[in-house]
Amino acid sequence: MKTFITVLLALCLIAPATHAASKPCLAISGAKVWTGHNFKVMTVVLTGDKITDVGSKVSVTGCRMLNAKGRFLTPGLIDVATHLGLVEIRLEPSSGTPNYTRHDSTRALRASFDVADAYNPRSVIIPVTRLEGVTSVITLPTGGIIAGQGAWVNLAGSSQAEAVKKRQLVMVASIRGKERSRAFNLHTIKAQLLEAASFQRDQTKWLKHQTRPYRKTAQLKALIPVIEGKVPLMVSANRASDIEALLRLMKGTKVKLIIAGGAEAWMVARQLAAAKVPVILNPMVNGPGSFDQIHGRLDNAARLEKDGVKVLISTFSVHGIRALRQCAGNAVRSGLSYAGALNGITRLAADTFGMKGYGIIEAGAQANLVLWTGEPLEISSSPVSIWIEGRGQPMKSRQTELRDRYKSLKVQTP
Amino acid sequence: MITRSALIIASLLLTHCGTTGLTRKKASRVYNPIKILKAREVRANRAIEKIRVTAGPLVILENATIMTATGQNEFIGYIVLDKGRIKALAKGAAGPLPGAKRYDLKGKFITPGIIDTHSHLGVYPAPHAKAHSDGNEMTGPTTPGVWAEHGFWPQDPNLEFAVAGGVTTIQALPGSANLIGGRGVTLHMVRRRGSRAMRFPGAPTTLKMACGENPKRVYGKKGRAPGTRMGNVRGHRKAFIKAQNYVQKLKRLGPRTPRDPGLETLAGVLLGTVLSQVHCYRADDILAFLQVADEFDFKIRAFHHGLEAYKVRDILAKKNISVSTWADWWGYKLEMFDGIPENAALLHDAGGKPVIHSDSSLGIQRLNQEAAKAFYAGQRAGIKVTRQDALRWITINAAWTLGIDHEVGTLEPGKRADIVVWSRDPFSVYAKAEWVFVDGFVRYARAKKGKPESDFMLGQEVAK
Repeated sequence: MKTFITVLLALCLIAPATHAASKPCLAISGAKVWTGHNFKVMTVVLTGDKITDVGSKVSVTGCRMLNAKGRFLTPGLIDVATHLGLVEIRLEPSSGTPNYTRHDSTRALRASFDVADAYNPRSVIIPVTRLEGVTSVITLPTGGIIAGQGAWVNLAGSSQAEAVKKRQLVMVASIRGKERSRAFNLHTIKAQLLEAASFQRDQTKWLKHQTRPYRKTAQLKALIPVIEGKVPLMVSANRASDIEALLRLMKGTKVKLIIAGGAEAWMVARQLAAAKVPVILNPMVNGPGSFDQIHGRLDNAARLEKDGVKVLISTFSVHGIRALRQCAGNAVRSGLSYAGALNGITRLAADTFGMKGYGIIEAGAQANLVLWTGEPLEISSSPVSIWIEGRGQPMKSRQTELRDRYKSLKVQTP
Repeated sequence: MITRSALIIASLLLTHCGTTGLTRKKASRVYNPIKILKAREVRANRAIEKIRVTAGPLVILENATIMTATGQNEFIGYIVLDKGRIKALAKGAAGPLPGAKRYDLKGKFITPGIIDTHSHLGVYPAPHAKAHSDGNEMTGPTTPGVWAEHGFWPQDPNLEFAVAGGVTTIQALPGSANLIGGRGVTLHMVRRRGSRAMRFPGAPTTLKMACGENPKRVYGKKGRAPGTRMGNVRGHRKAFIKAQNYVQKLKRLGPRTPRDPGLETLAGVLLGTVLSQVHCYRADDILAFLQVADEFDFKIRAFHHGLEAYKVRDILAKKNISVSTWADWWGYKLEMFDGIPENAALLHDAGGKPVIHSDSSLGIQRLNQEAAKAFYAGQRAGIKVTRQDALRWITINAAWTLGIDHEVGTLEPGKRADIVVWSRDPFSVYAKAEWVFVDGFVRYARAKKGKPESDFMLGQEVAK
């Protein structure tokens, strides 16, 4: 009986694999695979859009084989605070803008704006970014006090339907910026959340008595998942006292606060750790660039890590997302642990936003992977192969096309 | 045959001389405009802030991997610094040298001090503030009479961070809002109370000019000229027509020529004493500006940014014009749309002089990484380029751009002892500058913790 059960269990375990094997699969062998802690030589099997097996002794029967020859394999890199696909040329608003309030600064509240609808999967910036090993980003609106909702996109696919993996992923707010004063901004965020709570408690009454335009209702509806803690609230703040104020504001609520920018976050590291609030930062930002970051330091990430704060690394960019791993490398240069840096652009990035299966190399995870010529954060390294949802990506961009066109100048002078 | 041509040329010359002879009869003499301009600015160039010059100490940096930026392969050896200059450098072990301070730099790398040809430190200092906006004289599109050094704040806290990144010399430039933005200033990264005393000794005057989107955007928006690329070129031509007339006046009237800060600067460009530094992105904008330079017969020393320089690299190489660019910054404006990471490597391959510049208070802290990015991008694309070549992009090519290549930019005996000691290969993302020497003195030591250099930062941490 016991044997029978064991056999049955074994069959159950094998069954999915056998099933998977019937679909075309790719086995990447002999790669130094990032486990989240270190690099370990293993084989990774991709079937369809998923990783189906990882280990040193896995069945690869029927799979196409790829000998990685000791190269490094990491999850596809993730930048959690970009405006990719929303802007093509920064100074040309006609090319797109992430700033929904751009033309009317009085409309500082745009909670209902869903950036996914504005995402352009054919942006030429996408292949340029992908060639540096970035396979997913969160793309965010800007402007106003509450700018709207960000989306998780994969850097592949030619339609919004293919590229956008999760919309309404995160609510974006800012207490910096040109919108009146920090006190006003802080108060407005608080008032909006309170109003949303009141709206949620008694919607019928609210709607019956509301005298304001419908737009307002849409704002409040969009904020309900935020006060319920289902959608995180990412607030741009650099000054230590601003972060402190935000922590106090959200204390006792279900709001899942995330600090973006956080130049002076190291000064309130213990409070951040106690409140379990993650910080998204660019480790190459230091110095008193503005009065909000007089105490910006290169070892910001290292100090936060030491005090137990979850650190995510971002370029906060569009055209510069390609420098993501340089950012992570610089964090290591300034004292962040290697695992902290690489996880800060993979595993932790996905985990913070509840994107299960991203940023990890495990059976069942998304097959978003990058095979590197060398240690992935080092400048001398570059991607050899990139997979998104199991599909090998073209190693081309508009920039490689330009390069190839001008490799010889002869063609320009017929 | 040869004699015949020579005769023709001689007779032509005679005719020409004859004409001059006639004028001479009328206006008596032709003055040397270069001498006049120089004499006029003697006091404008003299620093009131007197520096007591002490000779740098006797130092031996030994057992390090030395990258000289001369093109020579790196080697393990030593460098002797004495009286602010490089006294000797060689492979192998250094012998005894009484009185020398010795640094055992096993496993570490040595390069020349990094030179940033394009910085706005001091003129757009930190923290960003209205009162700190001293880099663009946006009251008119042509302002050759302003000097960056007069807007330079030596207390900019970012200067200290730049030094910590291995930077020993910068060119602080006016911004690019104007067609002719004003004089740049080449500064040695020494601590002084005013910019004048920071000026790199003997560095030529430079002039910042700009083409493309910025001037036409800034002034077009105000309903003023220039509002188009056409208007840009007209603006440049107008300015140089005036400058040409001014040079003629200088020759004719000599010291009696009325003074004019702008025309004196532009005359310097026409006479070849001022090095033009031209902000230009697109290949066709570069060519349009080259046309202007050709028409008025002046030399352009460097294009800055030049994201499309790779498209006209043959021309730039032939004309011996350097190009200061980034490793991979692009797309911010439409004129930045065609930037590629192989730009520097392609320029190098064509025999040109690429430079990696920062134009940023953050980028200036890691120009070694930026050069590395540009190098590896080129190498990956199969372009013939070496590490030693790429090091030149942030050292000697930059020095040449500023006209100080006889003083700094390579590690060679006799040059100023501006040196960076790196914790490891400077092309690694993990490399840090451990010591930075300027004129043989330790300007920065990573291990040494002290008060911030900038008065602005002093005491900021007291209010805990």
